[in-house]
Amino acid sequence: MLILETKDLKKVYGKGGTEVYALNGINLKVERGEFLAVVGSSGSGKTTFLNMIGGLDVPTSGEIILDNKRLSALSDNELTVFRRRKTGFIFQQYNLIPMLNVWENIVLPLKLDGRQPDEDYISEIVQILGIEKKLKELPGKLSGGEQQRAAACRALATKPSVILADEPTGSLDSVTSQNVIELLKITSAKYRQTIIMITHNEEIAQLADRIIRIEDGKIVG
Amino acid sequence: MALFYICTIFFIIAFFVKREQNLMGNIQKMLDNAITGKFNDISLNESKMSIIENSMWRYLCDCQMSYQKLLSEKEQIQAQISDISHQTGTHIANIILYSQLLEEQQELYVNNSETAECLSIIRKEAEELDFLTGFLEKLSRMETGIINVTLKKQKIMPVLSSITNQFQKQALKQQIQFSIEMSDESAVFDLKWTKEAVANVVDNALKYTRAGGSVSISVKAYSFFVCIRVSDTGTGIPEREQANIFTRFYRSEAASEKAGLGIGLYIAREVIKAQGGYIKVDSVENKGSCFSMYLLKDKVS
Repeated sequence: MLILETKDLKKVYGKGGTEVYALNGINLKVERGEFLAVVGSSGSGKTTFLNMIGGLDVPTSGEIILDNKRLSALSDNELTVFRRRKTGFIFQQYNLIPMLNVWENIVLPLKLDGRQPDEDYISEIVQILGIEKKLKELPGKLSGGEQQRAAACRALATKPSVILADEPTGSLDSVTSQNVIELLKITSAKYRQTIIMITHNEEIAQLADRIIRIEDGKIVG
Repeated sequence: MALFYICTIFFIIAFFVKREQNLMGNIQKMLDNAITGKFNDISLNESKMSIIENSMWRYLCDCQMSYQKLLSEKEQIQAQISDISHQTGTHIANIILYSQLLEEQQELYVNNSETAECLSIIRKEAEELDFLTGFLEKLSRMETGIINVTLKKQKIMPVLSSITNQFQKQALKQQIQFSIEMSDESAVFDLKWTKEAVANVVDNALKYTRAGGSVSISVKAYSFFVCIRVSDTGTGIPEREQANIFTRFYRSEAASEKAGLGIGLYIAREVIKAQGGYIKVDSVENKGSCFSMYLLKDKVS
Protein backbone atom coordinates (compact mmCIF):
# COMPACT_ATOMS: atom_id res chain seq x y z
CA MET A 1 0.00 0.00 0.00
CA LEU A 2 1.47 3.27 -1.10
CA ILE A 3 1.22 6.28 1.12
CA LEU A 4 3.21 8.69 -0.98
CA GLU A 5 3.97 8.91 -4.63
CA THR A 6 5.71 11.76 -6.45
CA LYS A 7 5.79 11.91 -10.20
CA ASP A 8 8.46 13.93 -11.96
CA LEU A 9 8.46 16.59 -9.28
CA LYS A 10 10.15 19.87 -10.30
CA LYS A 11 10.71 23.18 -8.62
CA VAL A 12 12.31 26.03 -10.53
CA TYR A 13 13.39 29.34 -9.09
CA GLY A 14 14.10 32.32 -11.37
CA LYS A 15 13.20 32.78 -15.01
CA GLY A 16 14.84 32.91 -18.44
CA GLY A 17 18.57 32.41 -18.38
CA THR A 18 18.90 32.35 -14.60
CA GLU A 19 16.75 29.33 -13.88
CA VAL A 20 17.77 27.29 -10.88
CA TYR A 21 16.36 23.81 -10.47
CA ALA A 22 15.86 23.14 -6.77
CA LEU A 23 14.17 19.87 -7.69
CA ASN A 24 14.67 18.30 -11.07
CA GLY A 25 12.34 15.37 -11.62
CA ILE A 26 11.87 13.42 -8.42
CA ASN A 27 10.05 10.09 -8.68
CA LEU A 28 9.53 8.36 -5.38
CA LYS A 29 7.21 5.78 -3.91
CA VAL A 30 6.86 5.24 -0.19
CA GLU A 31 4.97 2.34 1.36
CA ARG A 32 2.70 2.73 4.35
CA GLY A 33 4.57 2.22 7.60
CA GLU A 34 7.99 2.78 6.07
CA PHE A 35 10.73 4.80 7.76
CA LEU A 36 12.53 6.67 5.03
CA ALA A 37 15.65 8.78 5.45
CA VAL A 38 16.50 11.45 2.89
CA VAL A 39 20.15 12.43 2.84
CA GLY A 40 22.11 14.90 0.74
CA SER A 41 24.42 17.87 1.08
CA SER A 42 23.01 21.28 1.92
CA GLY A 43 21.42 22.96 -1.05
CA SER A 44 20.58 19.64 -2.67
CA GLY A 45 16.84 20.24 -2.43
CA LYS A 46 15.97 18.01 0.55
CA THR A 47 14.02 20.62 2.46
CA THR A 48 12.23 21.89 -0.65
CA PHE A 49 11.18 18.32 -1.28
CA LEU A 50 9.87 17.80 2.25
CA ASN A 51 8.02 21.11 2.24
CA MET A 52 6.26 20.10 -0.94
CA ILE A 53 5.16 16.78 0.46
CA GLY A 54 3.81 18.62 3.46
CA GLY A 55 1.92 21.05 1.27
CA LEU A 56 3.98 24.00 2.51
CA ASP A 57 5.35 24.72 -0.94
CA VAL A 58 3.93 24.26 -4.43
CA PRO A 59 5.81 22.40 -7.17
CA THR A 60 6.46 24.07 -10.55
CA SER A 61 5.41 20.86 -12.24
CA GLY A 62 4.78 17.26 -11.33
CA GLU A 63 2.42 15.48 -9.05
CA ILE A 64 2.29 14.55 -5.37
CA ILE A 65 -0.17 11.92 -4.19
CA LEU A 66 -0.21 11.63 -0.41
CA ASP A 67 -2.56 9.20 1.31
CA ASN A 68 -4.69 8.85 -1.81
CA LYS A 69 -5.00 12.62 -2.28
CA ARG A 70 -3.63 14.61 -5.19
CA LEU A 71 -2.23 17.68 -3.47
CA SER A 72 -2.49 19.95 -6.51
CA ALA A 73 -6.24 19.32 -6.64
CA LEU A 74 -6.83 20.66 -3.14
CA SER A 75 -7.96 24.21 -2.41
CA ASP A 76 -6.14 26.32 0.17
CA ASN A 77 -8.71 25.51 2.84
CA GLU A 78 -8.61 21.82 2.11
CA LEU A 79 -4.83 21.87 2.15
CA THR A 80 -4.88 23.40 5.61
CA VAL A 81 -7.18 20.71 6.92
CA PHE A 82 -5.16 18.09 5.10
CA ARG A 83 -1.91 19.22 6.72
CA ARG A 84 -3.55 19.25 10.10
CA ARG A 85 -4.95 15.74 9.87
CA LYS A 86 -2.60 13.79 7.65
CA THR A 87 0.82 15.15 8.43
CA GLY A 88 2.86 15.72 11.53
CA PHE A 89 5.91 17.97 11.36
CA ILE A 90 9.06 17.81 13.41
CA PHE A 91 11.51 20.66 12.84
CA GLN A 92 15.12 21.19 13.74
CA GLN A 93 14.20 24.14 15.92
CA TYR A 94 11.38 22.25 17.73
CA ASN A 95 8.93 25.17 17.15
CA LEU A 96 7.15 24.62 20.44
CA ILE A 97 5.01 27.56 21.52
CA PRO A 98 6.84 29.12 24.50
CA MET A 99 3.70 30.42 26.29
CA LEU A 100 2.01 27.00 26.42
CA ASN A 101 3.17 24.17 28.64
CA VAL A 102 4.25 20.85 27.14
CA TRP A 103 0.84 19.19 27.42
CA GLU A 104 -0.92 22.18 25.82
CA ASN A 105 1.63 22.13 23.02
CA ILE A 106 1.01 18.45 22.38
CA VAL A 107 -2.78 18.69 22.19
CA LEU A 108 -2.86 21.98 20.27
CA PRO A 109 -3.15 20.43 16.79
CA LEU A 110 -6.06 18.30 17.99
CA LYS A 111 -7.83 21.26 19.56
CA LEU A 112 -7.40 23.18 16.30
CA ASP A 113 -9.21 20.37 14.54
CA GLY A 114 -12.05 20.48 17.08
CA ARG A 115 -11.21 17.01 18.31
CA GLN A 116 -11.07 15.76 21.86
CA PRO A 117 -7.56 14.50 22.65
CA ASP A 118 -7.48 10.74 23.17
CA GLU A 119 -5.89 10.89 26.63
CA ASP A 120 -4.98 7.20 26.80
CA TYR A 121 -3.18 7.28 23.50
CA ILE A 122 -1.35 10.52 24.24
CA SER A 123 -0.26 9.48 27.70
CA GLU A 124 1.07 6.30 26.14
CA ILE A 125 3.25 8.09 23.61
CA VAL A 126 4.27 10.58 26.26
CA GLN A 127 5.44 7.65 28.35
CA ILE A 128 7.26 5.93 25.51
CA LEU A 129 9.05 9.17 24.73
CA GLY A 130 9.76 9.68 28.44
CA ILE A 131 8.46 13.18 29.07
CA GLU A 132 5.57 12.32 31.38
CA LYS A 133 7.17 14.30 34.24
CA LYS A 134 7.61 17.43 32.13
CA LEU A 135 4.03 17.92 30.94
CA LYS A 136 3.37 20.92 33.20
CA GLU A 137 6.64 22.68 32.36
CA LEU A 138 7.08 25.44 29.84
CA PRO A 139 9.25 24.45 26.86
CA GLY A 140 11.96 26.94 27.86
CA LYS A 141 12.76 24.91 30.98
CA LEU A 142 13.39 21.73 29.01
CA SER A 143 16.65 20.47 27.56
CA GLY A 144 17.04 20.21 23.79
CA GLY A 145 16.38 16.49 23.75
CA GLU A 146 13.27 16.88 25.87
CA GLN A 147 11.96 19.67 23.68
CA GLN A 148 12.48 17.55 20.58
CA ARG A 149 10.69 14.64 22.19
CA ALA A 150 7.81 16.95 23.09
CA ALA A 151 7.73 18.06 19.46
CA ALA A 152 7.67 14.43 18.36
CA CYS A 153 4.73 13.84 20.71
CA ARG A 154 2.91 16.76 19.17
CA ALA A 155 3.52 15.34 15.70
CA LEU A 156 2.21 11.93 16.76
CA ALA A 157 -0.80 13.21 18.72
CA THR A 158 -3.10 13.63 15.74
CA LYS A 159 -2.29 10.11 14.51
CA PRO A 160 -1.15 11.49 11.17
CA SER A 161 -0.66 9.28 8.13
CA VAL A 162 2.84 10.54 7.66
CA ILE A 163 5.40 12.28 9.85
CA LEU A 164 7.75 14.70 8.13
CA ALA A 165 10.91 15.41 10.05
CA ASP A 166 13.37 18.04 8.85
CA GLU A 167 16.73 17.53 10.54
CA PRO A 168 15.03 16.50 13.78
CA THR A 169 18.34 15.89 15.47
CA GLY A 170 20.14 18.90 14.05
CA SER A 171 20.58 20.63 17.39
CA LEU A 172 21.10 17.57 19.58
CA ASP A 173 24.24 15.74 20.62
CA SER A 174 24.84 12.36 19.01
CA VAL A 175 23.65 10.11 21.85
CA THR A 176 20.45 12.11 22.39
CA SER A 177 19.90 12.12 18.63
CA GLN A 178 20.03 8.38 18.47
CA ASN A 179 17.71 8.06 21.48
CA VAL A 180 15.12 10.39 20.00
CA ILE A 181 15.12 8.58 16.67
CA GLU A 182 14.90 5.15 18.28
CA LEU A 183 11.95 6.31 20.35
CA LEU A 184 10.32 7.76 17.27
CA LYS A 185 10.86 4.44 15.53
CA ILE A 186 9.26 2.47 18.35
CA THR A 187 6.23 4.75 18.44
CA SER A 188 5.76 4.77 14.72
CA ALA A 189 6.08 0.99 14.47
CA LYS A 190 3.50 0.61 17.19
CA TYR A 191 0.99 2.96 15.59
CA ARG A 192 1.96 2.12 12.01
CA GLN A 193 3.01 5.60 11.06
CA THR A 194 5.11 6.48 8.08
CA ILE A 195 8.14 8.69 8.70
CA ILE A 196 10.06 10.68 6.14
CA MET A 197 13.13 12.18 7.75
CA ILE A 198 15.72 14.52 6.35
CA THR A 199 19.14 14.35 7.84
CA HIS A 200 22.73 14.93 6.88
CA ASN A 201 23.92 12.63 9.62
CA GLU A 202 24.74 9.28 8.03
CA GLU A 203 24.69 7.52 11.37
CA ILE A 204 21.14 8.64 12.06
CA ALA A 205 20.11 7.76 8.50
CA GLN A 206 21.29 4.18 9.10
CA LEU A 207 18.43 3.74 11.57
CA ALA A 208 15.87 4.07 8.79
CA ASP A 209 14.39 1.23 6.72
CA ARG A 210 15.48 2.88 3.51
CA ILE A 211 17.80 5.73 2.57
CA ILE A 212 17.52 7.88 -0.50
CA ARG A 213 20.11 10.43 -1.50
CA ILE A 214 19.25 13.68 -3.23
CA GLU A 215 21.94 15.59 -5.15
CA ASP A 216 21.25 18.65 -7.32
CA GLY A 217 17.51 18.10 -7.18
CA LYS A 218 17.66 14.47 -8.23
CA ILE A 219 17.52 11.14 -6.49
CA VAL A 220 20.91 9.51 -6.96
CA GLY A 221 20.42 6.30 -5.00
CA MET B 1 -49.79 34.03 19.23
CA ALA B 2 -49.76 30.65 20.95
CA LEU B 3 -50.25 29.01 17.58
CA PHE B 4 -47.20 30.85 16.25
CA TYR B 5 -45.04 29.56 19.09
CA ILE B 6 -46.26 26.01 18.61
CA CYS B 7 -45.50 26.24 14.91
CA THR B 8 -42.02 27.59 15.56
CA ILE B 9 -41.22 24.84 18.06
CA PHE B 10 -42.55 22.25 15.63
CA PHE B 11 -40.32 23.51 12.83
CA ILE B 12 -37.26 23.61 15.06
CA ILE B 13 -37.86 20.01 16.12
CA ALA B 14 -38.46 18.95 12.52
CA PHE B 15 -35.21 20.65 11.50
CA PHE B 16 -33.14 18.80 14.09
CA VAL B 17 -34.80 15.47 13.37
CA LYS B 18 -34.05 15.95 9.68
CA ARG B 19 -30.42 16.86 10.44
CA GLU B 20 -30.00 13.83 12.65
CA GLN B 21 -31.43 11.61 9.93
CA ASN B 22 -29.02 13.07 7.38
CA LEU B 23 -26.07 12.49 9.65
CA MET B 24 -27.08 8.90 10.36
CA GLY B 25 -27.67 8.33 6.66
CA ASN B 26 -24.21 9.62 5.83
CA ILE B 27 -22.54 7.47 8.46
CA GLN B 28 -24.50 4.46 7.23
CA LYS B 29 -23.34 5.15 3.67
CA MET B 30 -19.78 5.47 4.88
CA LEU B 31 -19.90 2.12 6.65
CA ASP B 32 -21.49 0.45 3.64
CA ASN B 33 -18.68 1.79 1.46
CA ALA B 34 -16.13 0.57 3.97
CA ILE B 35 -17.64 -2.93 3.91
CA THR B 36 -17.51 -3.11 0.11
CA GLY B 37 -13.98 -1.68 0.12
CA LYS B 38 -14.97 1.39 -1.86
CA PHE B 39 -14.46 3.83 0.97
CA ASN B 40 -12.40 6.90 0.28
CA ASP B 41 -12.07 10.05 2.33
CA ILE B 42 -13.42 12.70 0.06
CA SER B 43 -14.37 15.78 1.99
CA LEU B 44 -11.61 17.80 3.57
CA ASN B 45 -13.21 20.56 5.58
CA GLU B 46 -13.92 21.69 9.10
CA SER B 47 -17.10 19.66 9.52
CA LYS B 48 -17.45 16.86 12.08
CA MET B 49 -18.38 14.54 9.24
CA SER B 50 -15.02 15.10 7.59
CA ILE B 51 -13.23 14.30 10.85
CA ILE B 52 -15.15 11.04 11.18
CA GLU B 53 -14.35 10.21 7.58
CA ASN B 54 -10.67 10.83 8.19
CA SER B 55 -10.61 8.56 11.23
CA MET B 56 -12.50 5.89 9.35
CA TRP B 57 -9.98 6.04 6.51
CA ARG B 58 -7.09 5.77 8.91
CA TYR B 59 -8.70 2.81 10.61
CA LEU B 60 -9.29 0.98 7.35
CA CYS B 61 -5.71 1.58 6.17
CA ASP B 62 -4.39 0.31 9.51
CA CYS B 63 -6.53 -2.80 9.28
CA GLN B 64 -5.39 -3.55 5.78
CA MET B 65 -1.78 -3.04 6.75
CA SER B 66 -2.00 -5.37 9.73
CA TYR B 67 -3.76 -7.92 7.58
CA GLN B 68 -1.07 -7.85 4.95
CA LYS B 69 1.62 -8.08 7.58
CA LEU B 70 -0.05 -11.09 9.18
CA LEU B 71 -0.46 -12.73 5.82
CA SER B 72 3.20 -12.36 4.91
CA GLU B 73 4.27 -13.59 8.34
CA LYS B 74 2.00 -16.59 7.99
CA GLU B 75 3.45 -17.42 4.62
CA GLN B 76 6.95 -17.13 5.99
CA ILE B 77 6.23 -19.47 8.87
CA GLN B 78 4.60 -21.99 6.60
CA ALA B 79 7.48 -21.94 4.17
CA GLN B 80 9.82 -22.51 7.10
CA ILE B 81 7.80 -25.42 8.44
CA SER B 82 7.76 -26.95 5.01
CA ASP B 83 11.51 -26.47 4.75
CA ILE B 84 12.30 -27.90 8.14
CA SER B 85 10.09 -30.96 7.74
CA HIS B 86 11.63 -31.55 4.35
CA GLN B 87 15.12 -31.37 5.80
CA THR B 88 14.31 -33.63 8.74
CA GLY B 89 13.14 -36.13 6.17
CA THR B 90 16.70 -36.68 4.91
CA HIS B 91 18.07 -37.19 8.39
CA ILE B 92 15.40 -39.67 9.33
CA ALA B 93 15.96 -41.54 6.09
CA ASN B 94 19.64 -41.75 7.07
CA ILE B 95 18.81 -43.05 10.53
CA ILE B 96 16.60 -45.74 9.02
CA LEU B 97 19.26 -46.67 6.49
CA TYR B 98 22.07 -46.96 9.02
CA SER B 99 19.98 -48.85 11.55
CA GLN B 100 19.16 -51.33 8.80
CA LEU B 101 22.85 -51.67 7.98
CA LEU B 102 23.60 -52.18 11.64
CA GLU B 103 20.91 -54.80 11.90
CA GLU B 104 22.43 -56.72 9.01
CA GLN B 105 25.90 -56.47 10.48
CA GLN B 106 24.83 -57.67 13.87
CA GLU B 107 22.93 -60.56 12.32
CA LEU B 108 26.09 -61.59 10.48
CA TYR B 109 28.74 -61.12 13.14
CA VAL B 110 27.29 -60.65 16.62
CA ASN B 111 23.93 -62.30 16.66
CA ASN B 112 22.83 -61.09 20.06
CA SER B 113 19.04 -61.19 20.47
CA GLU B 114 18.94 -58.20 22.84
CA THR B 115 20.89 -56.01 20.42
CA ALA B 116 18.66 -57.18 17.61
CA GLU B 117 15.60 -56.10 19.53
CA CYS B 118 17.05 -52.69 20.34
CA LEU B 119 17.94 -52.14 16.72
CA SER B 120 14.55 -53.11 15.47
CA ILE B 121 12.92 -50.70 17.93
CA ILE B 122 15.18 -47.90 16.71
CA ARG B 123 14.22 -48.65 13.14
CA LYS B 124 10.50 -48.82 13.88
CA GLU B 125 10.52 -45.59 15.82
CA ALA B 126 12.43 -43.88 13.03
CA GLU B 127 9.91 -45.14 10.53
CA GLU B 128 7.08 -43.74 12.63
CA LEU B 129 8.91 -40.41 12.79
CA ASP B 130 9.39 -40.51 9.04
CA PHE B 131 5.68 -40.98 8.58
CA LEU B 132 4.85 -38.05 10.86
CA THR B 133 7.27 -35.60 9.25
CA GLY B 134 6.02 -36.68 5.85
CA PHE B 135 2.53 -35.74 6.93
CA LEU B 136 3.73 -32.47 8.36
CA GLU B 137 5.36 -31.58 5.08
CA LYS B 138 2.26 -32.41 3.10
CA LEU B 139 0.17 -30.38 5.46
CA SER B 140 2.32 -27.28 5.28
CA ARG B 141 2.49 -27.60 1.53
CA MET B 142 -1.23 -27.61 1.42
CA GLU B 143 -1.39 -24.54 3.61
CA THR B 144 0.94 -22.65 1.32
CA GLY B 145 -1.20 -23.78 -1.59
CA ILE B 146 1.46 -25.99 -3.11
CA ILE B 147 -1.14 -28.72 -3.78
CA ASN B 148 -1.09 -28.05 -7.46
CA VAL B 149 -3.43 -30.55 -8.94
CA THR B 150 -3.02 -30.99 -12.67
CA LEU B 151 -6.37 -32.24 -13.78
CA LYS B 152 -6.55 -34.75 -16.59
CA LYS B 153 -9.20 -37.18 -17.68
CA GLN B 154 -7.77 -40.63 -17.06
CA LYS B 155 -8.59 -44.17 -15.97
CA ILE B 156 -9.11 -44.86 -12.28
CA MET B 157 -7.43 -48.25 -12.57
CA PRO B 158 -3.86 -47.07 -11.72
CA VAL B 159 -5.11 -45.60 -8.45
CA LEU B 160 -6.76 -48.88 -7.52
CA SER B 161 -3.77 -51.03 -8.37
CA SER B 162 -1.44 -48.74 -6.44
CA ILE B 163 -3.75 -49.01 -3.41
CA THR B 164 -3.76 -52.80 -3.75
CA ASN B 165 0.03 -52.91 -3.74
CA GLN B 166 0.25 -50.54 -0.84
CA PHE B 167 -2.24 -52.15 1.54
CA GLN B 168 -2.64 -55.83 0.70
CA LYS B 169 0.19 -56.92 2.96
CA GLN B 170 -0.96 -54.76 5.82
CA ALA B 171 -4.51 -56.11 5.57
CA LEU B 172 -3.23 -59.65 5.55
CA LYS B 173 -1.17 -58.94 8.64
CA GLN B 174 -4.20 -57.49 10.42
CA GLN B 175 -6.31 -60.44 9.26
CA ILE B 176 -8.72 -58.17 7.45
CA GLN B 177 -10.40 -59.23 4.27
CA PHE B 178 -9.31 -56.68 1.68
CA SER B 179 -11.07 -56.56 -1.67
CA ILE B 180 -10.81 -54.14 -4.54
CA GLU B 181 -13.23 -54.23 -7.38
CA MET B 182 -11.28 -53.23 -10.49
CA SER B 183 -12.99 -50.82 -12.80
CA ASP B 184 -12.62 -49.39 -16.26
CA GLU B 185 -14.15 -45.99 -15.47
CA SER B 186 -12.41 -42.70 -16.16
CA ALA B 187 -12.59 -39.44 -14.26
CA VAL B 188 -10.88 -36.07 -14.05
CA PHE B 189 -8.19 -36.11 -11.38
CA ASP B 190 -4.53 -35.74 -10.51
CA LEU B 191 -2.97 -39.19 -10.23
CA LYS B 192 -0.40 -38.50 -7.52
CA TRP B 193 -2.65 -36.57 -5.17
CA THR B 194 -5.65 -38.80 -5.68
CA LYS B 195 -3.57 -41.85 -4.78
CA GLU B 196 -2.61 -39.98 -1.63
CA ALA B 197 -6.22 -39.13 -0.80
CA VAL B 198 -7.58 -42.65 -1.38
CA ALA B 199 -4.63 -44.12 0.52
CA ASN B 200 -5.43 -41.92 3.50
CA VAL B 201 -9.04 -43.08 3.52
CA VAL B 202 -8.06 -46.75 3.15
CA ASP B 203 -5.39 -46.42 5.83
CA ASN B 204 -8.04 -44.96 8.10
CA ALA B 205 -10.45 -47.80 7.34
CA LEU B 206 -7.81 -50.44 8.11
CA LYS B 207 -6.87 -48.67 11.31
CA TYR B 208 -10.36 -48.86 12.76
CA THR B 209 -11.32 -52.34 11.57
CA ARG B 210 -10.67 -55.30 13.84
CA ALA B 211 -9.24 -58.64 12.80
CA GLY B 212 -11.81 -60.71 10.97
CA GLY B 213 -13.50 -57.64 9.49
CA SER B 214 -13.39 -56.50 5.91
CA VAL B 215 -12.47 -53.42 3.88
CA SER B 216 -13.73 -53.20 0.35
CA ILE B 217 -13.24 -50.66 -2.41
CA SER B 218 -15.59 -50.23 -5.31
CA VAL B 219 -16.12 -47.76 -8.13
CA LYS B 220 -19.43 -46.63 -9.47
CA ALA B 221 -20.16 -44.14 -12.23
CA TYR B 222 -23.01 -41.67 -12.03
CA SER B 223 -24.09 -39.10 -14.59
CA PHE B 224 -21.74 -36.32 -13.41
CA PHE B 225 -19.45 -38.00 -10.93
CA VAL B 226 -17.52 -41.22 -10.54
CA CYS B 227 -17.55 -42.46 -6.98
CA ILE B 228 -14.74 -44.37 -5.30
CA ARG B 229 -16.25 -46.03 -2.27
CA VAL B 230 -14.28 -47.41 0.67
CA SER B 231 -16.42 -49.39 3.09
CA ASP B 232 -15.31 -51.16 6.21
CA THR B 233 -16.85 -53.16 9.00
CA GLY B 234 -14.95 -51.26 11.63
CA THR B 235 -15.85 -49.36 14.75
CA GLY B 236 -17.88 -46.75 12.90
CA ILE B 237 -18.17 -43.08 13.70
CA PRO B 238 -20.82 -41.76 16.08
CA GLU B 239 -23.18 -39.35 14.37
CA ARG B 240 -22.15 -36.38 16.49
CA GLU B 241 -18.55 -36.80 15.32
CA GLN B 242 -19.29 -37.27 11.65
CA ALA B 243 -19.28 -33.55 10.93
CA ASN B 244 -15.84 -33.14 12.48
CA ILE B 245 -13.78 -35.96 11.06
CA PHE B 246 -12.67 -33.99 8.02
CA THR B 247 -11.42 -31.03 10.02
CA ARG B 248 -7.76 -30.66 10.70
CA PHE B 249 -6.26 -32.26 13.83
CA TYR B 250 -9.57 -33.81 14.82
CA ARG B 251 -9.12 -37.04 16.74
CA SER B 252 -12.10 -39.13 17.70
CA GLU B 253 -12.32 -39.79 21.44
CA ALA B 254 -12.53 -43.50 20.75
CA ALA B 255 -9.37 -43.32 18.63
CA SER B 256 -7.20 -41.47 21.07
CA GLU B 257 -4.96 -44.49 21.68
CA LYS B 258 -4.27 -45.08 17.97
CA ALA B 259 -1.29 -43.41 16.32
CA GLY B 260 -2.00 -40.49 14.03
CA LEU B 261 -2.24 -36.74 13.79
CA GLY B 262 -5.79 -36.28 12.62
CA ILE B 263 -4.88 -34.88 9.22
CA GLY B 264 -5.30 -37.84 6.88
CA LEU B 265 -8.97 -37.28 6.15
CA TYR B 266 -8.41 -33.53 6.08
CA ILE B 267 -5.82 -33.95 3.35
CA ALA B 268 -8.13 -36.35 1.50
CA ARG B 269 -10.95 -33.83 1.55
CA GLU B 270 -8.72 -30.93 0.49
CA VAL B 271 -7.33 -32.92 -2.44
CA ILE B 272 -10.76 -34.09 -3.62
CA LYS B 273 -12.10 -30.55 -3.21
CA ALA B 274 -9.24 -29.09 -5.25
CA GLN B 275 -10.22 -31.45 -8.04
CA GLY B 276 -13.81 -30.25 -8.10
CA GLY B 277 -15.22 -33.26 -6.32
CA TYR B 278 -16.46 -33.97 -2.82
CA ILE B 279 -16.18 -36.57 -0.11
CA LYS B 280 -18.85 -37.85 2.25
CA VAL B 281 -19.22 -40.41 4.98
CA ASP B 282 -22.01 -42.74 6.04
CA SER B 283 -21.42 -44.57 9.24
CA VAL B 284 -23.21 -46.60 11.85
CA GLU B 285 -21.50 -47.05 15.19
CA ASN B 286 -20.11 -50.57 15.71
CA LYS B 287 -21.25 -51.59 12.21
CA GLY B 288 -18.78 -49.78 9.96
CA SER B 289 -18.20 -46.72 7.82
CA CYS B 290 -18.43 -45.98 4.15
CA PHE B 291 -16.42 -43.12 2.64
CA SER B 292 -17.49 -41.97 -0.82
CA MET B 293 -15.13 -39.86 -2.90
CA TYR B 294 -16.83 -38.27 -5.86
CA LEU B 295 -14.61 -37.26 -8.77
CA LEU B 296 -15.82 -35.25 -11.74
CA LYS B 297 -16.55 -37.36 -14.80
CA ASP B 298 -15.76 -34.60 -17.25
CA LYS B 299 -13.98 -31.30 -17.02
CA VAL B 300 -16.27 -28.43 -16.17
CA SER B 301 -15.67 -25.66 -18.62
